[in-house]
Amino acid sequence: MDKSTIQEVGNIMAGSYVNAMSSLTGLTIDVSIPTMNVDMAGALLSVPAIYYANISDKIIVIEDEFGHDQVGASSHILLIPEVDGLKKIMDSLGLGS
Amino acid sequence: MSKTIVVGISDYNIAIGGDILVTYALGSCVGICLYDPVAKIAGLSHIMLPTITEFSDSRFAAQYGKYADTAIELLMQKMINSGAVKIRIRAKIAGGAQMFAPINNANIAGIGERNVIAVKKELARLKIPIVAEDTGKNYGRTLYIGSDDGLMRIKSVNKGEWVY
Repeated sequence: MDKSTIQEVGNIMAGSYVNAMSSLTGLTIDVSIPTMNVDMAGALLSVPAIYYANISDKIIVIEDEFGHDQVGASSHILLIPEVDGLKKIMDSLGLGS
Repeated sequence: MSKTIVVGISDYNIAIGGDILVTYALGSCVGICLYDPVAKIAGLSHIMLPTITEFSDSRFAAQYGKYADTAIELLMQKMINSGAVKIRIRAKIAGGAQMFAPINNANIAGIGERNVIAVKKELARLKIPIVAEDTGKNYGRTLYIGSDDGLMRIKSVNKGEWVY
């Protein structure tokens, strides 16, 4: 229950950012099925690190904060685009190199 | 007083005189402990990918510590240079987990398992026997190896701790 709640919150947030990026860039962005895990940050990030080991060192970091009464929680969204994808995004924003 | 030597990702190092090697948060990566119980020399390698031919990019300088088929031999050589004897060296390996549900990316699908297979193949090629293994499953591991006893200690988040 708690895990699926977190997964759904993550899904909604990621979806919002992807939608915003989609309308900002005019690109169609499809989202695949989300998966989640709770573990050491290094162990989780080793998965994208392996994928990008040789090809990129750029990520987009978004810090956000949730609040409810006196309770607050801050979190981070790491958007790790593929190299080709990042180029497309930057080009359509007029920021291509 | 023994000191702790941190081995980063795509890195390898050795320890003597009771010093301890540690590598944090092995996910799909694999940690390879080599130990010579007579010389009391321990070695630890933290590899990310199976083979240099399959996964390196010619645009960048190759990091030999990153691949199973290049890192382990370098580690073994470093131990031998410090007084270890090849026929006494034994291996213990850990990591190679699948951190997320299968994803549709053929290039890195099951990368943890492929790393473990590549590590075993390379150890077989070097004729180093594997005496303990804690691989696979779906959680991260932090790995310690002591040069005084050659014991491999694994710590996880909420899954427990083990000594091999």
